[in-house]
Amino acid sequence: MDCGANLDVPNDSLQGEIIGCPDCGLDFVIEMDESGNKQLRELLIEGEDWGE
Amino acid sequence: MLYDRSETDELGIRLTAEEMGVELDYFPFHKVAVGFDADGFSYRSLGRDYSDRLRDTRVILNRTQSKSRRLFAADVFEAMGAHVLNPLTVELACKSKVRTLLAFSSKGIRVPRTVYVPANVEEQVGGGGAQDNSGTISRLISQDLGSEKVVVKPDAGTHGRGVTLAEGPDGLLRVLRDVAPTIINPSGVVAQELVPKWFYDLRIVVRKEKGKAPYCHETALARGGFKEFRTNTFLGNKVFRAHLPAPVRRQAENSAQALGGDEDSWVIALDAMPRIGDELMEGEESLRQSFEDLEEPFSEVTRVKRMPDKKRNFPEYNREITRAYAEYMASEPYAHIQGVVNETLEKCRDSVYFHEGNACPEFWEQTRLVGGVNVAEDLLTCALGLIDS
Ligand SMILES: Nc1ncnc2c1ncn2[C@@H]1O[C@H](COP(=O)(O)OP(=O)(O)OP(=O)(O)O)[C@@H](O)[C@H]1O
Ligand SMILES: [Zn+2]
Repeated sequence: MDCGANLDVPNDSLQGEIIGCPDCGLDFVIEMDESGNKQLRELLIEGEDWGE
Repeated sequence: MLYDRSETDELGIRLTAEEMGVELDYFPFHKVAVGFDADGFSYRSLGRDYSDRLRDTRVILNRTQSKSRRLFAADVFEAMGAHVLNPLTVELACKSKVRTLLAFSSKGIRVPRTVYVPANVEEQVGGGGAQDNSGTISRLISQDLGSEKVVVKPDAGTHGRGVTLAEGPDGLLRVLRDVAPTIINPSGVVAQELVPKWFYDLRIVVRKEKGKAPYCHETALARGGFKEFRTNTFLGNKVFRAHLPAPVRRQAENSAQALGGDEDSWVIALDAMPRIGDELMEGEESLRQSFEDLEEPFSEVTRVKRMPDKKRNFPEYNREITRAYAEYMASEPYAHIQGVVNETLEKCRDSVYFHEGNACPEFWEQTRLVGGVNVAEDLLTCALGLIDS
């Protein structure tokens, strides 16, 4: 995690579910990797006035 | 470092900080509550209180991606007594293209001739109904810029979104019908002469450390192609390392200073275009061929960029993207186009037009690897300069 926190992924959480880190507020999507383990991918927010 | 979402740029800043031995902490600027009254500040997420960390923080690197949100961030942290890179003054000067261009031109810096019309194309009238101002606005613009070729752009847009080339009076009318007030164009219409830049523009980085004069890097990022008049890279344009002639570097320093005002320290990425006369546009056919031939070496860059998990495996991604760009830059078509960029730039050294300042540029891949400028080093060097004083 960017904030250094350890995010608990509940055992019954499902693929595609979104969980938020309470510390930094970033949101993560639960994904399965090739070996069927749960992985977290940061949910990238975007807006009209983003970027350079 | 402060952000609302982290990309390779932010990971790159962390990596560079480690290499430079700079202690870097992180503040979220999204799902947090910034509380304040006359007794002071609090800064909390749902799970954590950042208020104490804040009191020990000397400099904030503001990497908030949303422009409007980034302004709030600069406001908040300056009010808390921290130095912010970039300072609020710089953010404000960069946010609006009209404000930026006014700052440049009032310091005698060459800018594309620009027209601002305060009226909106469609306006509500008292008692109901709407008035269509497109005809009047079109005439107001043509009166100053002619109507052959005019660039219409949102005042605070990014990534070339909404930047349109209007050709002829009918073309201008058509383009105007799509202009409406939005978050990236709060009010009115911005139009500009089309600068004949042949096929490329420049991204130039200038930094100012506290107590020192502004410093413009010797190299810059040239972005170009023949696909259309916009040279933004997400449109499939390619990037090259340009060597900046000394007069262009001096102009860049003056331009950035015009946006930096009295602030002690800042890092600004400028956008500029060379005005290239017809007599210099030689060998366009073979150039077009080189751009085609460049697709192949560039495909490896695209492949690496798509790497899933690049944030988790950042060191590996970094090695791979560095290698991919190095191979691309070693290719023959790259050398051909780069040669033309440097030659024309040398000849046009006194007709480079500055038109934009970016306070929070993307840089980790293109500007750093191809342009030769690691903006993270600039930011951290400037931060150290503020702390030392
Ligand atoms: N007056 C002009 N003459 C010629 N080309 C122009 C002009 N204005 C813009 N362009 C082209 O259109 C592109 C996008 O314009 P501009 O930089 O103003 O938009 P932007 O949304 O701020 O893009 P970015 O976020 O990349 O800075 C530029 O990179 C340039 O190639
Ligand atoms: Zn977190």
